[in-house]
Amino acid sequence: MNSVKSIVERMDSDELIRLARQLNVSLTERKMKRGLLVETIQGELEEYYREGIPWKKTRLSDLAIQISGLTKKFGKTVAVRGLNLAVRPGQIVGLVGPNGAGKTTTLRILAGIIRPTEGTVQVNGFDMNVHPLKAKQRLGYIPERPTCYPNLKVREYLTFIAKIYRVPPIDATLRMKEYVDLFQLNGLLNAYIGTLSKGNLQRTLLVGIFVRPPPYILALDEPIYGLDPRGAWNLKLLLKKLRDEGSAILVSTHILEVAEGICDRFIIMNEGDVVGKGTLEELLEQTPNAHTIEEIFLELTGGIPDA
Amino acid sequence: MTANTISLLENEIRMLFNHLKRTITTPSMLLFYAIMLVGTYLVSSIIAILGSYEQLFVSVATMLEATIDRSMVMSALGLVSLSAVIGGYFGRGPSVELTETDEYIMMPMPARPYQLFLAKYIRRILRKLGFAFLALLVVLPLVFSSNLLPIPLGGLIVCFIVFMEINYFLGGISFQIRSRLDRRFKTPFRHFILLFLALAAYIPTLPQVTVHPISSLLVPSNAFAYIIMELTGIFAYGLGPLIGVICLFLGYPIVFLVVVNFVDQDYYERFALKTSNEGDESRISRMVRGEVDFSESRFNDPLMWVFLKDFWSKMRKPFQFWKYFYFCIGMAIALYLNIVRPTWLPPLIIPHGLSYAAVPAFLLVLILLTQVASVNALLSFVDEKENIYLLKSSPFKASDIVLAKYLLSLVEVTLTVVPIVGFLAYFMRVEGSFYLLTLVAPLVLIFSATGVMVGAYIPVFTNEPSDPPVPLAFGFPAINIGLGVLLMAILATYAENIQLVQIMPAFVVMVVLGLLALATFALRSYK
Ligand SMILES: Nc1ncnc2c1ncn2[C@@H]1O[C@H](COP(=O)(O)OP(=O)(O)OP(=O)(O)O)[C@@H](O)[C@H]1O
Ligand SMILES: [Mg+2]
Repeated sequence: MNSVKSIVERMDSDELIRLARQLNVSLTERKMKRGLLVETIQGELEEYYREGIPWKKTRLSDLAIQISGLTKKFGKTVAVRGLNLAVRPGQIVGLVGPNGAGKTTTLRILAGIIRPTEGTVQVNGFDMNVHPLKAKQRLGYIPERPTCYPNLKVREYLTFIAKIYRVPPIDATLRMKEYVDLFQLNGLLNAYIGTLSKGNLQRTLLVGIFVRPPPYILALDEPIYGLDPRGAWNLKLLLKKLRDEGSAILVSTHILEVAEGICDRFIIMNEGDVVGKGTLEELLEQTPNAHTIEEIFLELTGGIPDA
Repeated sequence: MTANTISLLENEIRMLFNHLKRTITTPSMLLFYAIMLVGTYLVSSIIAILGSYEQLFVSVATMLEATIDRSMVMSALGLVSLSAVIGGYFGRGPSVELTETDEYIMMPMPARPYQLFLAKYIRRILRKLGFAFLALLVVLPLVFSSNLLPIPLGGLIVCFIVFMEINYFLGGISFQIRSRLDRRFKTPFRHFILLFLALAAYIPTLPQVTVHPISSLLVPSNAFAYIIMELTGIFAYGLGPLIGVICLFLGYPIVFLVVVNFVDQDYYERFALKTSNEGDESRISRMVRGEVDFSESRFNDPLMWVFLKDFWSKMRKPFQFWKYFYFCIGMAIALYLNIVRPTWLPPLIIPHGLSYAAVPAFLLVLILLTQVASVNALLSFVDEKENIYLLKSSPFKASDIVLAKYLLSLVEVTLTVVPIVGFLAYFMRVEGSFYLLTLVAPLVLIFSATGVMVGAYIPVFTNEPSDPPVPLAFGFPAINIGLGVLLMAILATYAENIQLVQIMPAFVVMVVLGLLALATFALRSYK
């Protein structure tokens, strides 16, 4: 509850008025002391969340992401061959591999954009092919090349997302404020997305995921790419926090420092095949020649080049 | 409709609205819109003053009644539906309307494919109606001077849109049938279904069927043909167009609902796989598609390099092959007609008394045809997509890039135009038509330059070089028609004067150089 209260304290007057309207606080007086309004709203919110904050109670299915026997062919190219993978709540799994290994293809199948040639994908216990809506409801996907509708304003986009995922308006307002602050998008809420820089676009998409209530099942394709050092640092911290709160996260990357910094387990892919999986320690055991994650990667994907 | 469909629709309409708002609050865009609307309006008033077309319509109508018959109209429109069915079967169906952003934002959302389809479709219709309204507004002078009645004309346009939308849906249906069959069966015999679909679309439009008036109500293309005939009076039964209109408007929701029910994951999938490039083609088809490494060519001249690069990367599109195919076949037919002059296919002879109206009409046709062909020139920059920034930052002079684009556009436009000119030379015999046809050359020169100029300006206006803003795309024909009419005016003024041979080339050279200079300037001022 305290976190909700502190969000309210950070709001500016427009945001406070918007929230007051949503809470049906009567704003009859023409002028009202800010402090008073904040207190009134906090009181109302206390009433609204009387039975606890709803998103703190949700749990994910024990196998948040389960991919079994996944094969995807494009004509004769096999982009992914017989992939098995599971991510449990409270885990960050890194999908690493050289260019063209099949990481993006895997994540696109996981997000329900394309169908697998063979195999099944389950998200939060729902098969993507059989119950696509239920499977997609929990999933947050960041594409490899972030794009968004240029003719929407950032705020309009975020509200749209909240509607589609059926986030109650009051929850959405609070969450939006929290994550807009975190990703420093405050000045850009009324900007058209078409005018944003690449990093700010990436941030907008991320906030678009986090206006939805946790826990999340995230499929992130190179999420760090394009963010500045502070944005990257914030995101890494956030991902760890979400994991500790029970989200399940699958990130694809070929930036190994990032992978090493945040991932609990790794899946190493090469030309569609899984060539190694496990924690860093397990991988080190499997590859006696290698001493760092970089060397493991090189060893498993074509050998360490001689200096 | 579920809440999600409404939210999706709301979102699409908000984007449309924001787009409009952004356009009319950007002065440069507004300027282009103004040029386009006012320009076309003026041009259509000038054309309206130049000739009185009422008589021409009457005589064309009588001539049509003498040369063709009712069943030919039905069959011709039936061909439109047929090609929609076949095109849908081989094409990407309704998924052509999707964008990469839809893939990343909408497809992973908990919404069903048909909901997205509905939202996007309604937006498409709203946009279309807006454009149709603007177009009608702009050609009003022409409508009044020809004594056409705006209400039946408007009705005809609406029926035309409905008919074309029905065809779009027919394509969508055959697309979905194919993708469903592809998923269930592997045998090549599954493609026989296309034969059935094609027959189902075409048999009701055959003369043997359409002799009975009631057949007009059998399929949408018949109904539309019936409406045209009743409204124009050519081959009219005299029963009034209402029955046809009812039939057409009943057909529309039927095919619409069928498509909405059919749309499934394949709608997404087909878009998401569009780049998929099955690696099992023979060498010849690879050559036809232009997978040739041009970077190892002997040419070091930047102009030549850009030219070749464009030529080969164009060849990579399947469409390009058909363009050359069309040129060869079209040329062969045009030559055959003009040399052999077959008696079974007589040209249209326009009565002498009408040439006063016929010459401007002929010139207008010429301008419009060249305009249609010169869209290639506009695409010369659009096709670069994001690469345009790469090209711009490469060590080439802006003028070299522009010139290369211009030359290739000239080639492309000429290839498209020449067979058509051949047909025109044979079919439309107006007084002096042979001399008038030579005007195609200056028109091609000028229109290609306009296309290159407008194309070069796209990245100045937007960050999305592959998606020309509407006013630019429409400003292009507006500018062209304006220049074309100017050319005609020069021709009319100096018609009896020998100075024409100096003035005309000077005018063309000046306009072309001016446009290309503008393009070079545009290339230097990218955002
Ligand atoms: N739509 C498609 N059509 C044909 N082939 C495809 C398609 N999408 C991906 N591929 C092929 O599948 C393979 C895997 O591609 P993918 O994009 O998944 O690689 P990746 O691991 O994400 O690489 P990167 O690190 O470069 O992002 C590649 O060989 C690619 O060429
Ligand atoms: Mg990738």
